[in-house]
Amino acid sequence: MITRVNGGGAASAIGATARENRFRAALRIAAAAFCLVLIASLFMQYVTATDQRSDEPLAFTGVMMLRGATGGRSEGAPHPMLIAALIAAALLLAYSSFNIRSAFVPIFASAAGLAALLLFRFDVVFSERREFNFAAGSAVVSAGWSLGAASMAAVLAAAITLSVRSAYLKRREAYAAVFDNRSLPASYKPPTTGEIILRDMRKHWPVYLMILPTLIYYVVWAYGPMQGIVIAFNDYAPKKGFWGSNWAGLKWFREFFRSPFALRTIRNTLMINILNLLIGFPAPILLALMLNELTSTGYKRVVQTVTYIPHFISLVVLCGLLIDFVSSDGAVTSFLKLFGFPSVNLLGQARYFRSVYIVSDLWQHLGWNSIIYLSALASIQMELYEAARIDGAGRLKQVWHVTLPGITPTITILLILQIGSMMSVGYEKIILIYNSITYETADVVSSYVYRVGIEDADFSRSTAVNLFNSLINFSLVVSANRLSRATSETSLW
Amino acid sequence: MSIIRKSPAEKAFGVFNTVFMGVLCVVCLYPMWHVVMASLSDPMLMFAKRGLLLWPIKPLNLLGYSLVMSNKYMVSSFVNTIIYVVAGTALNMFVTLMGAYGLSRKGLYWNGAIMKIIAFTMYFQGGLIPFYLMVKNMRLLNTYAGIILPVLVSTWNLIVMRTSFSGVHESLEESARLDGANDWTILWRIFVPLGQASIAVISLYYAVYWWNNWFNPSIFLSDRGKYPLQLLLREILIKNSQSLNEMTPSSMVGQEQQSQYRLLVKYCVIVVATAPILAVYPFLQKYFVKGVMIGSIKG
Repeated sequence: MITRVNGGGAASAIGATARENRFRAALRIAAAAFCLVLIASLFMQYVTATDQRSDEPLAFTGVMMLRGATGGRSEGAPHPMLIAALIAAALLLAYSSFNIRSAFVPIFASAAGLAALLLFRFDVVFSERREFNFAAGSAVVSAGWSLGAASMAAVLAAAITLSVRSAYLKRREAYAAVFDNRSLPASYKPPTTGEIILRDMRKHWPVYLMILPTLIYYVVWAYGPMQGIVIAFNDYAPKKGFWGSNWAGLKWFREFFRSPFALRTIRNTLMINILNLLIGFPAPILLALMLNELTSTGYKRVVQTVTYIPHFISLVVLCGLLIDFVSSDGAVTSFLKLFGFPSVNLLGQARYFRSVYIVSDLWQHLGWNSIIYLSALASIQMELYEAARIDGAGRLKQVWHVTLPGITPTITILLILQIGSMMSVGYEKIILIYNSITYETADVVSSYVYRVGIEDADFSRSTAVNLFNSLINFSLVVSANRLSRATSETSLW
Repeated sequence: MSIIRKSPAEKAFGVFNTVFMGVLCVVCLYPMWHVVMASLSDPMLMFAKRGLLLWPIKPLNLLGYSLVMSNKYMVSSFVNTIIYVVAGTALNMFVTLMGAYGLSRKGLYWNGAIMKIIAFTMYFQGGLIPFYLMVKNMRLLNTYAGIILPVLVSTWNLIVMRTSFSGVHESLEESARLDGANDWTILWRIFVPLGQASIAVISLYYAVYWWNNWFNPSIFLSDRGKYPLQLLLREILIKNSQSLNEMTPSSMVGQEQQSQYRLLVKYCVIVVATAPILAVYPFLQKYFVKGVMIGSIKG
């Protein structure tokens, strides 16, 4: 009797998994199809503006609007809700093309997309903006809208069903395991997700109050500024706001890549990172190895403490020191003069900028960055050294065959992370020590973003360059993380 | 150890290593030494003879320090920095502790998803200008709130704290609940005392952030009375601006000597701004080092 129940349960579980997988595949196809519809809609014509003189409706395709090829005639942005729907579609596309198992992505994306489309429809009915009223009147747009909303709703329903179903099955299995399948009647229904959440909220409401400030912070201050990214695609005018400013498409990106700044800032960013990889990265490893060879522990501790100190000097003070020390009669310059260097202001010469930047970084962080390697060294078992000694290995051979293999995992991870940040150099130090004479070698992408955005108040241009850089950085980090997971089974997430 | 004979090459390396480490220490310390000595020197003679400085150039004097300490912006910026460090760190810790406690609870249903949404912001942000416009649109420019609120929580610290809280044994929480404790008491009476090590580290990280903070104030503040110390230092050391002129009024030091005194004032300012950190550093060193270790463990 009991075996039968058990066997039946297992069989139905397998059947359920197969059904679930079929369902998941169908969901992927639906999501992809919807995205294709949306992409196709970019090539449709939208009536987006009225001609100022003739009061005739003007029609542009979605692609024209994205490229900004409306000749400045388009009065406003595409409706913000349409952009939101487009982002939701991109999320769904990511879901259907990558192996994302989480049901959260399609639920979130389709719910957001559906809400956006409904809000769009609602707004068009009451809209003062004539172009959207014209657009709503067109049969193509109407059909596109209905199709979009319907498929969003379908995807949403499918995703919710899938996730509820699989959560339910999992929960039922868990309960069955707890009750050993015996005392659990066949009619037993485990609580639904909604019931679990509500029950937890009722019981632990103070906890929900406690995480509220954190959640508000992330919504307002981390995700809030993200809506400002839209100004990278328009001619931001403070009076018209983020969403109401004139649409410019990819104008700012085009202008950046056609300007000499693109090559210069990208080259400088890469150069500083490459130099850092060649000098700043191996130096702490070398220091850790050398510290490890010191026989007196007291001396070792003193050296450690002293080399950590520069790390605690604030950046502004460090840059103040630097400017003074490398000025034409500063301490460093007059020291270098002994070796035949000219006594010039090193920060006033484009060709010395990178060296000054790298060496000062090294001075400040050398000791501090060696901590992580020292701790890796400390975890190497002493028996390994003894075994090596018995085999007749000298110090050098011990370092080569025991110490280095012992810290290789740490080195690999840090190296991969370093490569992940190849296109980012923080602006803070750069903007403190560069000047118009050294822009040629000193100006990196982030400092250009700062100068254009904050000093020249050219908000849209700055945001566009920033977005380009963030996207590259993000994809580099993601790939570095994948690489790290593949090679060392350690990853950031 | 002593039984094992060392080859001559190994002995030579040992000597070289010891000497090299000594040189490294000198290189790390010399700049600070130079600044302290210069700040005590006679401004005229020092200006004439720049370069490496081992001892102060006599006659010794403390005029530079008195010029620095009598400047009203120097005093107000010091006070402001203390306000930012104390109020900022306290608010940071309050919100982070509550958030980390709530998010570490296994009973919270979409806990993993929420953490993913939070961690995402470490790798992708809106960017400098959207952030600036956000503060501006909320009318927080030139306010203390505009400096503190946008950095209320550091994602990294939140994750570290949450990881540490997840390690607290559930049975402790359950027995406290049986004794009638609510979530609030459980956080402050059980989780906080048990997470002390991580709490020390992350509050130190927050405090260091506030001490070093100059960039956000530099774009958000226009009222110099609200400047933190580091921002004033930037004006003095890097921009050579008005603040420096105010510190060396020609009425006090004579017109032709102004540039000499400016240099002296710069050195004194560096000493004044760095001394507090270096004074507490030896006592806090172990927490900082521990912080590196905690940070290296996957969150």
